[in-house]
Amino acid sequence: MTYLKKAALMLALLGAAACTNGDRFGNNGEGGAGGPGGANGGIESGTLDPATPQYFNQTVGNTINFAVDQSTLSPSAQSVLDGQAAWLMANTTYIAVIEGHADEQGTREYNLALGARRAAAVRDYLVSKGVAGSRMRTLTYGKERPLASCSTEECYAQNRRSVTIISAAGVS
Amino acid sequence: MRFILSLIMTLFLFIPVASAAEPLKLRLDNPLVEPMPFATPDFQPETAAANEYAVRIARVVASDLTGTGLFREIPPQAYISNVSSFASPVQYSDWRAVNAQALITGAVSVDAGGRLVVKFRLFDIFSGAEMGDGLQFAGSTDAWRRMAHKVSDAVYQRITGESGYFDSRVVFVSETGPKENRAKRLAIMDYDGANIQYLTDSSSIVLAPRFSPTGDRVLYTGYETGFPRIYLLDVSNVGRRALAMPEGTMSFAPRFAPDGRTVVFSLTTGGNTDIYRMDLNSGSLSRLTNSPAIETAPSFSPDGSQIVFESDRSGTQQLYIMSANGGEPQRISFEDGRYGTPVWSPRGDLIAFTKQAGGRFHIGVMNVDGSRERLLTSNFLDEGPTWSPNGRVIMFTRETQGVNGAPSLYSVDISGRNLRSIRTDNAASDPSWGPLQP
Amino acid sequence: MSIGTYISGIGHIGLITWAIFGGEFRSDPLPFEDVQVTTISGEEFAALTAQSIAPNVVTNVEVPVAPEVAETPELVVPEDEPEQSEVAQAPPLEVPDAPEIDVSTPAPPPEPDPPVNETDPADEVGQEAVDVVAPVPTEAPEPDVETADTTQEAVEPTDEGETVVEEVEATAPPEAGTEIVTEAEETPGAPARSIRPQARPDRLQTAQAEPEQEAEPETPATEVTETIDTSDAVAEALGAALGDTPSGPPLTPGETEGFRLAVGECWNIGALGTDSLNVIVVVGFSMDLNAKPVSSSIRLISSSGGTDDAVNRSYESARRAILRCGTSGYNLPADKYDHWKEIEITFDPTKMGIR
Repeated sequence: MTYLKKAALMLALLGAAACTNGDRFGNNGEGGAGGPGGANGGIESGTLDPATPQYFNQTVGNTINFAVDQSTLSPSAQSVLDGQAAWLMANTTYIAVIEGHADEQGTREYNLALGARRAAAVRDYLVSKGVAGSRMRTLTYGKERPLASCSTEECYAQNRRSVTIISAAGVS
Repeated sequence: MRFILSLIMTLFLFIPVASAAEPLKLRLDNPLVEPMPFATPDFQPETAAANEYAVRIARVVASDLTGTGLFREIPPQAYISNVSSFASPVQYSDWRAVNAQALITGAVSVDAGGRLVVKFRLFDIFSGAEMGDGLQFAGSTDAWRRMAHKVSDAVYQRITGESGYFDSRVVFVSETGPKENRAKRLAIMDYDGANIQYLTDSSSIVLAPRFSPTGDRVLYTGYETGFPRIYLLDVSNVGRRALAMPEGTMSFAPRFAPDGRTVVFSLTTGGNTDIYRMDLNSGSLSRLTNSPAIETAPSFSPDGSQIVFESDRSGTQQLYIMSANGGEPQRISFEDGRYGTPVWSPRGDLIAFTKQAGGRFHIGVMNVDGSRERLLTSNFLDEGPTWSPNGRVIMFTRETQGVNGAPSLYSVDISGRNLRSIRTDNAASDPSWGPLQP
Repeated sequence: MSIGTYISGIGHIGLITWAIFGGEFRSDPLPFEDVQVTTISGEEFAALTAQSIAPNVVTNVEVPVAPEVAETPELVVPEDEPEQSEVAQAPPLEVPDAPEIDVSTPAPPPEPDPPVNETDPADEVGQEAVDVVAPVPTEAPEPDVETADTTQEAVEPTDEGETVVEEVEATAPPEAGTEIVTEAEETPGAPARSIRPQARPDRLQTAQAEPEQEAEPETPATEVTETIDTSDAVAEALGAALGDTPSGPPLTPGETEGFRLAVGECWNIGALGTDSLNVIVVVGFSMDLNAKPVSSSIRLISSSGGTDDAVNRSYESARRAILRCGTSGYNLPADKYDHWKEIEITFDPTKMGIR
């Protein structure tokens, strides 16, 4: 608990520099909804400004996961995306790049296309929730940037993901 | 004596000659399929400056030939006779005795201009004859390996009847760093892994380079802008430019048409990936497929009239062939499993592909109509086949599994024999085999 | 043989002459082609790239580019050369002295052993063969398709495939190492040589011919033997003069089969191109009285499938088989010489599939 707080504080202090690393923690987003919800609540009220990318990454959750060779959004994924949509609607100076990723169980080319499909599924969902399409861009990494590097389903499940990366508009 | 002879003669007069003239006719249909034994004594240095090359060139030739799996070298310590000079007569009986069926002799000199001159002769030992004319190559001493490869190509062609693939290069992706954050850069090497040189740095991801038909340019997918898009790189000066694409799109999986002026690739708009072609000179773009499915990994037939590609329009990745101008594709893969990265062989008769089935990856080949599918490899992760210039060998990426998993390059004969690893300094992936060099 | 030696000698003298005056040929601009080897050294590349790229590799997540501001290329594709793009353009680079390679055929290389019917790639079929050849028009298109069939190896789809394939890999010929050790990695001059098993497995050992091997075919009738024993040539000449030689009863199936297997033991298509695997050649030749093939008599009678080149290579492998296994004479009953004096063998690899 205290540890988490400290960590979150550190992140906040790191400021903009940290945002590129944010998604490294992002995978907690989905799981976080169930388990350590209380902990998140603590951070929410205590440390993070809800208008920061750190809040987006840590609390809203920037990552959702997909089933094998699928780009459909599970109910839990949708609830995370609902949070993303709300945040983006509230913080209109931010834009988003949505990364799509695949596990290593596929050819390079197909996985690029699959990642693009996943990213587009997220984007379309956010648009349907009211986020302007012009604020978002999709990007695929295929299997080039796995989050977890083991070769088991445990890792694969983490790697089949999309990550919403936000940044202040105009910053390049 | 004389009497007996004449008696026999008389007797034979009464035997119908027809039966004797009839040849004995036999049919053999079960040949051996074994490497052909050959000998390559050290080449003869004809000038002092050529000493170091004479031995090395013979060794590269031997390595080239044995590397095909079609030949095996007679160990030099078994030689009965040695070749004392390029012009001395060949002692066929000595070479027969060690069961050498082919003999390669050569000589090396450095001429007044500092150029290396390599000549060789090839002998069919059991026929007791030279196979073809002697050949000679001249070039800078830097190019000694290439000249060795040229000797190998000539020998290979004379014995097998098909062109070789030794004097060729491969462009690939050299990889370093951890799996989650791999640094990738384009590199080029001789077909056997020698002379690796880099074409890009590792500041952004590069993927799947593809040689132009003449080997002077390379298409690849790069992330320099943060988004995947296609670049065209000039091998001679490593200058590169991004191909102009519609804004907001991603492009990847490029490949040259046989004419070297047209490119096919995948373009993603709004999450949907289709196949497009572009004229490199005009930049004009045309769309070849139009479906909500993933269409990618296009590859031209050698005559440029058709394109094979993969699509998941049926629900899983399968292979299809369409006209080079688009139109209704015909599915060609029907076995169980998922098929990807089809590549048309330079001979036009086969299509190599990556297949996922039973939890494993395979490199395979099938006829152009999809018949006679044969899997050549089976592993945790094999992918991305590329053809040798003569259509006989396939190089591909094999990746090991686990946290420390890394890719490396392998080659295999289209018979499925002779699986070999190509040694590179770092991890390596996505090979593209270039043409035989002129 | 001695004629061959003579001609070989003449040939070699010619070659020596060429070697001495070889320089002249060098200056002859034969089909020279300059080869541009276009690469740069690692140092040059490092120097080149050091200046250009701003690295940002810390994590996979790059600060994204605002779509509106993005300098991504325009949608419209104009006529002009697609823009040089935002990529740092590499300055033109000194390509290390491009090693160029000239290819030339040196002196007309002396033909050391003309008697043997050496097929020159240039002239389709062996010289002696020409008269006999019934050139079956080469049907070009088909062959490659055929080459694809490895009926035996054909891997069953699904799971079974893996096992089979693994086996294929596992049984890769031992003489092929698993790695290409490049010259670059070896100590020059001290290359590692792998010593390979010399002996070919006698996979046809069971051939019934084997046991009879000792029974060296002596010339048929004893009386005649005395007369013609001197040399094969005389024997043949005499045989011809006599109008015929012993015919005896026809070969038994066992004898025929033994001979067939004996030739088959030397018929190796392992080093043939895939095109040749669809080529059927019929090769004819004469035997001398010692059951040794007369090498000058070996000729291509007919062929089907494949290009001319493929046919030539197939023929060469057949000829090699006939000569190699006949070096010390085949095991054929001397008293039936007439029945094996002339031989025609059809070499048909098409059932093998690819390699």
